Amino acid sequence: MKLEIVTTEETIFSDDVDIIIAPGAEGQLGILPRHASLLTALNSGDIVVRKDGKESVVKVEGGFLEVAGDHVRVLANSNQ
Amino acid sequence: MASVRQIARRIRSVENTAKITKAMSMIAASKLRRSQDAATQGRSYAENMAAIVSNVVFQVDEEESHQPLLESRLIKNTGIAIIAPDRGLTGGLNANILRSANDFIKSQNAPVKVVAVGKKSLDFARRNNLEIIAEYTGISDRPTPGDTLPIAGDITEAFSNEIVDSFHIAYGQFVNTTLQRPVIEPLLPVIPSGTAANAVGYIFEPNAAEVLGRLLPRYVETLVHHAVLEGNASEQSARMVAMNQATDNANEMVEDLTLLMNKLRQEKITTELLDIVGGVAALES
Repeated sequence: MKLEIVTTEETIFSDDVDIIIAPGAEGQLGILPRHASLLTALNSGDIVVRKDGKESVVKVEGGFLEVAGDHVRVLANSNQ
Repeated sequence: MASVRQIARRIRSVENTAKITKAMSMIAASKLRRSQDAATQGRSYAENMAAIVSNVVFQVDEEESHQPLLESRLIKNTGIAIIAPDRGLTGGLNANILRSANDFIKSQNAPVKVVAVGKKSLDFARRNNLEIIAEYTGISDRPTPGDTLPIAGDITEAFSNEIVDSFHIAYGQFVNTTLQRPVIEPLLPVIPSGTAANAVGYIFEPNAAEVLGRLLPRYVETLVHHAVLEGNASEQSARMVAMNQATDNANEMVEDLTLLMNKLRQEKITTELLDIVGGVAALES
């Protein structure tokens, strides 16, 4: 599935990934492909992304996460 | 007829003007680079945000969640945020933005109140005796969310408190370096742009009202911030082009004047020579 993390200033992440773990407003949230459509607020924390066994971490200061079809969008609040 | 010396002085003055306009154009060019990046990179966030909002708004039962920013009321008063530069020397840009804002205001049946962003916008509102809700001048050349959040705050507040029942935003959209388009976009109430068909059945966390309550103000902030960024990029590019043009015109003028000066000088020499030759001829005869 395609993950895109954007802030007001720039796109900080855009790639196909296997799993996303995000700090949702209701607790940690794991998203696999074919996840149901979802819209959630995010808390500050790390978004952990796994692709082909490799893990990367993106820090966000809250924001929103949307799952629609095979596309995950994160509107991250700017960390300035 | 102007004397050679007068023309020489004129040339010097035009040359100095050319130097100034050249410098201004170069300053604008260097600022443009950053403004343009900010505007184009911010677009992705703004577009994603708009896409999510338009998906979501369909799904939410207005009565149930009661979002003040979605509420369509009878329009008794309408508001417009006019985003214009602080300074002039931007060719036709300022005039174009203000003209389209003016046309919009004329076309409204309800009284129009203004949030003025930028000195030119404020001057315009005062000149036309429009009621000013809030005014912002002296926003930096690199607008940060910190600069634009209060603007969005005032706009949502005016709408929530029913001071105005709808809100538009006018700014110069940056298309490319030579083209900036004045646009007027509806801001509030938030109207979904898509159709109900492409609404996605969302799961909301924690719940729809809560998510929308956070998303919608953020949406307005984003639109305002983005409008300011676009306006800034437009301003810099318009100024760059206008000042380039001014420099070219000045240089052309210097050429014309130099030609004129040389002609005059030549003429003067010729007359002097003729005088001498005439004098010599008179003595000899």
